[in-house]
Amino acid sequence: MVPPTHLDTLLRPESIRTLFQPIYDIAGDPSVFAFEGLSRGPAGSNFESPDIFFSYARHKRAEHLLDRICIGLVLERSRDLPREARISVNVHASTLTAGGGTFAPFLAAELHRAGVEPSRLIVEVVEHALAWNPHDYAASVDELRAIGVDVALDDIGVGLSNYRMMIDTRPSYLKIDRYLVAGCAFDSRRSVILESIYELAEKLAATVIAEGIETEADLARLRTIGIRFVQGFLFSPPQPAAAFTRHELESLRATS
Amino acid sequence: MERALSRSLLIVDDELPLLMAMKDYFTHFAYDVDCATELEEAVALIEHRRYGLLICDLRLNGTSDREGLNIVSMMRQSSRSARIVLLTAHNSPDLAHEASQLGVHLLVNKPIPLPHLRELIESLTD
Repeated sequence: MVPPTHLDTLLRPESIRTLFQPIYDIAGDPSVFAFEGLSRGPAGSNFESPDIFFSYARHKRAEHLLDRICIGLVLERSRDLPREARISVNVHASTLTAGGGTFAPFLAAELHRAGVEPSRLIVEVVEHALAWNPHDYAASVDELRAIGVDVALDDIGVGLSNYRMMIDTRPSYLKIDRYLVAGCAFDSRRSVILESIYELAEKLAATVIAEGIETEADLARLRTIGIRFVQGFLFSPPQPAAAFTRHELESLRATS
Repeated sequence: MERALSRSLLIVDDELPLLMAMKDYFTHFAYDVDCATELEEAVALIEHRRYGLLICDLRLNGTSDREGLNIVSMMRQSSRSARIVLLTAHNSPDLAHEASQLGVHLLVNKPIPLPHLRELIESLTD
């Protein structure tokens, strides 16, 4: 817990910690494909949990502002990461439409400020509330593509990441939620659903990313299905950019 | 209610010294305590965690003087079995009736010595 007047305190850059969790390409020897930027509130507070951090901001009607601040910090704090790897950021669907067409220009300006090429960026769209304007949503996603970034749909299989969102988002990546992934090696229902999503992604010309891989058995099952991009504690926990030393990054590419 | 959940406690109060005193006291007696000072923080916690017990002040530093009732209502939607204690320095028959309707088990006048509060709570959970 932090002292009262949380919101003002929490929206300051020094209150927001940015961690990066690698996404691996396991087509050959595993190598880092991208780093997902993740935002956390102050350590030791309730807001260390991203669920509580963003839920609090939503109830304070500041979720869109928090999204923008966190994205700016992810881009700025990704400077020390290798430029060959892509960067992914998270945004709520409602944030894309809330600013009346201002999100894509905002993102373009932040990319320029941080010196990140738009083609390196993947924007992972998620939504937990039915509070965005579906009519403006597809146009907002197109505006993102127009500035040169890729769009992913996050949390596939849970919540509001449903078929409608797939149609409206037309994502380049489908990121499967850990709920479907964890334990898939020994759960035929999870496995069948993963196969189904993989086949659906192929037909939609999208690439599957599976998150939440914690065991070799689950990883082996994902390989069997054909899933090429994976993320999870089996490979690396989220950590600050500075924690990835050059030496570690090189070894991550070579082995893992 | 399973034991771990019955000892899982959310305390909501905007008086930080009192809140910290309650946290330390109940932690000492083996409760697993989360704290919040604001309505929105409490609601976010209730949305994402499970509690067996809520101790909540009626008035917080917000836009309403009845934010505690909003939190009680949210907790009741989240859990039918949670025990709920509402603290207030502004008790009245109307408030007692409304709190009861929302599922408050105990409406307690402030200030109250912590050992007495714990006795009341443990009489609810036994």
